[in-house]
Amino acid sequence: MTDSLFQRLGDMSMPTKATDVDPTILTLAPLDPARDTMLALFAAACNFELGPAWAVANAGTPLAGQSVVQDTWPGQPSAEVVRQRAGSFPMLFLSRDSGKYDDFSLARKQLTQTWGLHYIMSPIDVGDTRKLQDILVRVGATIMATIERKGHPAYQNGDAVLWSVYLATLNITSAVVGQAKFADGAKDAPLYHSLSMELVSTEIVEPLQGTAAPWLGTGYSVSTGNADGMIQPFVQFDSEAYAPQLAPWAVDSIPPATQGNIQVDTGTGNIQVDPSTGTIQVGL
Amino acid sequence: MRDPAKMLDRYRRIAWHYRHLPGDFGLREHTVVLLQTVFSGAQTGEAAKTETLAKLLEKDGRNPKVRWVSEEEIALGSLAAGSIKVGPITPDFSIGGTPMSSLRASTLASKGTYHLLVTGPMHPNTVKYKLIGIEGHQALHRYLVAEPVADYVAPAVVTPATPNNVQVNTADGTVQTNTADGNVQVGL
Repeated sequence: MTDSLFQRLGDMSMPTKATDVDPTILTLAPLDPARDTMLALFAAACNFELGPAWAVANAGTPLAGQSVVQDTWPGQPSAEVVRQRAGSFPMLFLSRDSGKYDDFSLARKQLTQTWGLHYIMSPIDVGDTRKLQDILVRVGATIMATIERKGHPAYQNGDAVLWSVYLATLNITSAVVGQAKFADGAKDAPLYHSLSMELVSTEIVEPLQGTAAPWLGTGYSVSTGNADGMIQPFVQFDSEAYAPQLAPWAVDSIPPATQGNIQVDTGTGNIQVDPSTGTIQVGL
Repeated sequence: MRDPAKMLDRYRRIAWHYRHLPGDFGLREHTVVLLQTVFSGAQTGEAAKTETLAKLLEKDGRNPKVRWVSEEEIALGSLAAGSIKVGPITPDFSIGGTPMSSLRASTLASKGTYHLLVTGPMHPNTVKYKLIGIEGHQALHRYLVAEPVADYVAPAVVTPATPNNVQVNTADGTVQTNTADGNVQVGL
């Protein structure tokens, strides 16, 4: 492909190719890796952290034998989904809701994205509500802690996957515990106990190497004058120089292991640390 | 003393023997098919889909009644325009009828989907409906209420590709199958 868009918004890379679609799955879901990664991460974290206590308390309830997150759906918890799809509760939903494209800097755009995250239990009676309702607030707390850590040991070996999908920021902005109906206002619809959260993320545009040289920066020099001559430069300014995106929030990410020798030049001589042997040599 | 279960069976048998008569005279033009779809991927809609279709029929293979609900029913029932009501459907009894489990798709696997397919003068190319409700509280008949979703497209024969280089470790050595070129190599 020679004429196309070459950039990345978060983890959404352009140009889009046919090979982006996994031939064994046959969906366009890989075009938005962040959503499915977040959903799988949160489900794994909740099941790992809350699963043992949940399994003790849910015996004898309609949710016995179910995991804390038994099912997931990458979309809104609408009547459309519940009426057409055989779901298993409790169920975790995640969807991109409203978003705003604006300037991250002079040269780069960003998408500020609002996400809807809904955790929904099946209808339960008042006795089972007493048994199980507090899972709702703990699911929210678990997801918050997972976001702060950018990953969880129960998902992909604890890798900081929220960093890997290029979410520059991700925060929970609200959480509401309550009850929800799925029947568009029908009075006879059952009530589902639920936790509804709103998340806001930022995904930043980055240029990608294409067939043309990548943009590195732009300098501006404005002069003025007349037939007698030019006064220059009248105004001079430069755009920012492109640099690979940093993830300032990933302060707790684990740096890659240091390979080989480390040398520190002190005033009195070199100090060499060999991490493979643990040897320290001074004055080389 | 009358046995209520036998009496119920008798009444349903009567309904079964008369409910199909409009169909005999060609007055039930719309066919209704119960469609269950399961997917081989991890999530609904992923990878290959398998459809199970079962016609909803009264005695002698006649179609049930299908009617489009009135504007008043749409308003009162919070239904979408174009909603339909299917029935009366004779509940199952000793020699016929349709069990509630079939109407509810009770055995549908998790993450599968359930729809009604309606074909007839109103929908020559078949339209897919989603089930909104079942009126099942009466002993001699059931009704299904459904809203239109989309045109129905029979599944294309698209089989997800098998990943290249499938390795099988047998007792006498490794067997490697490269699906790209069809080669099979033994003892790698």
